[in-house]
Amino acid sequence: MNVQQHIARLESLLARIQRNAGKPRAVSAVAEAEAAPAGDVAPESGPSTDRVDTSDDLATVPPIAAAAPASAERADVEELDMEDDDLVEIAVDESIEEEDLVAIESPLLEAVEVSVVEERRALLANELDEESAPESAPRPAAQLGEEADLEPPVITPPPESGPQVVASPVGITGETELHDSGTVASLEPDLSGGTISQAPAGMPSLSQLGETVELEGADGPAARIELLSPPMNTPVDQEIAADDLELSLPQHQYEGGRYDADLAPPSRATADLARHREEAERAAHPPTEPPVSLASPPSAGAAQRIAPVEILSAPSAASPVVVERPALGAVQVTEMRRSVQAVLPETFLALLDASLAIEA
Amino acid sequence: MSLPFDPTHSVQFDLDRGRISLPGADARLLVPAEALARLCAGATSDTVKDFGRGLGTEMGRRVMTRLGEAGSVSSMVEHLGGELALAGFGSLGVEVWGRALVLTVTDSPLGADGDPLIAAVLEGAIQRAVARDASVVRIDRTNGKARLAVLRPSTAASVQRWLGEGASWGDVLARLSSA
Repeated sequence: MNVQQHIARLESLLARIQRNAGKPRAVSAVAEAEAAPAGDVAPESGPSTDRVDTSDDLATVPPIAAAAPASAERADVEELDMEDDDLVEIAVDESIEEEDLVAIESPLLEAVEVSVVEERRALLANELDEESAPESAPRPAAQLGEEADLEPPVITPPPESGPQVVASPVGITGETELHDSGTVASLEPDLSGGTISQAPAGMPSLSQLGETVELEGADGPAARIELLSPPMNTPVDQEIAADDLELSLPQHQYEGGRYDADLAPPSRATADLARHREEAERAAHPPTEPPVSLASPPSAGAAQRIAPVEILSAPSAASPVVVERPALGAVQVTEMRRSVQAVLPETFLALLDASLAIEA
Repeated sequence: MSLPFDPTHSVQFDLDRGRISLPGADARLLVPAEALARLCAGATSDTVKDFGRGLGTEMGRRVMTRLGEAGSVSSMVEHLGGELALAGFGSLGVEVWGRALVLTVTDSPLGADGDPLIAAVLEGAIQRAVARDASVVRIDRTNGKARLAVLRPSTAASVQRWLGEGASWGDVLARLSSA
């Protein structure tokens, strides 16, 4: 394949890309159909009075992807899949000069980039313009047909609450079943998809008004709250205003160990100095008056100064309980026995003879 | 009535001649009591007894001269005690335990080692004063006071045996009273 054939293939590919980019797309419908399988669709198990999905009402719903059916999108995707013949071999032929390749590929690459950017913008715009419809919202018939045709995923089994045959509705106790077709036709279904009781924008709903309690002073002026901490952007050099009841510590302008000589002494400094001098004087010259001892009777002056101690006769709780032995009374305890007085001999010789008379 | 013991001028010191004498007695020596105790400790019991009897005989003779044989117990204690005091052997006393005569000597400078010597002195004095052979046996010594029993020689031997057997001086006196 020569250079001319490459250029022709690239031009045809560019034309096809530009033609496909100009077509409208229904990306959201296709994406929703692809993202949500048939089994994930919300079940229609509610009573018949909750939803009125009729074929006539579906006509009133604006078609979401009428201009861009899902089949067209699928066709575009298929078209983008290039066949083997459409593949462009980018391999560089040695016979082609480098300058020729640059001259040929540059406009083509620019055109491809422009088309890709435009396609991305179109996809983003479609995604922003179209809101994801709620699951309970009515769907167009074409989409319903596609959903019916969609096969459940092979891997994920369908849940039990999936699409199933709904039996004829049974009347609920207290509920009136309307059989008249005219009455049913007069009822207008809420197809907006919003909440049933919707208050105007900027106004509270009726249920909210019923629960609202107005506080006193709500109409007063707004309170002013002062922040205790200064804002973070306060400059460091700015002087902090001192309160009247607080003492200002030395700021950073005084170094450690130094103080301001202009500081006034405390208010009690004079009294403290006088008391300290009196204590020093008493320590140096103690009073000559002897201390009052409890052992010796105090002097008359001291007796006047010391309050008399009141002696309580009643025993206090801390005193011990004393059990004394009863008195014996006047009893003669001792008994004196008079010993036999030894008879001393008159002479020493008689005494000596008596002692010498002892034989053992 | 006997005269009281009068020690006036009892000891005469002739310093020119270097003599010490008692009235009516031979010359005396002033020797240390410790030296006399060492001498008695190195001598036999018979030597000590002879030495003591000689000293006591002289004392008894002077007592008998003044009292005679009819002297009372107190007068005997006074005069015999005076003679012991002049010799420097201590203070004499008399105790009567039942029938037993017990002489006491207090504050002897010779101590317990000098008690045999004092006992010999008393034996010699008694023999010379009242003409009785008596044996003096130490039965107790308490607080510097020696108790000496005056017994006949056979009884004194028994007391010596009792004391050797471990009997107290109270038991000895009790046994003497019951005998």
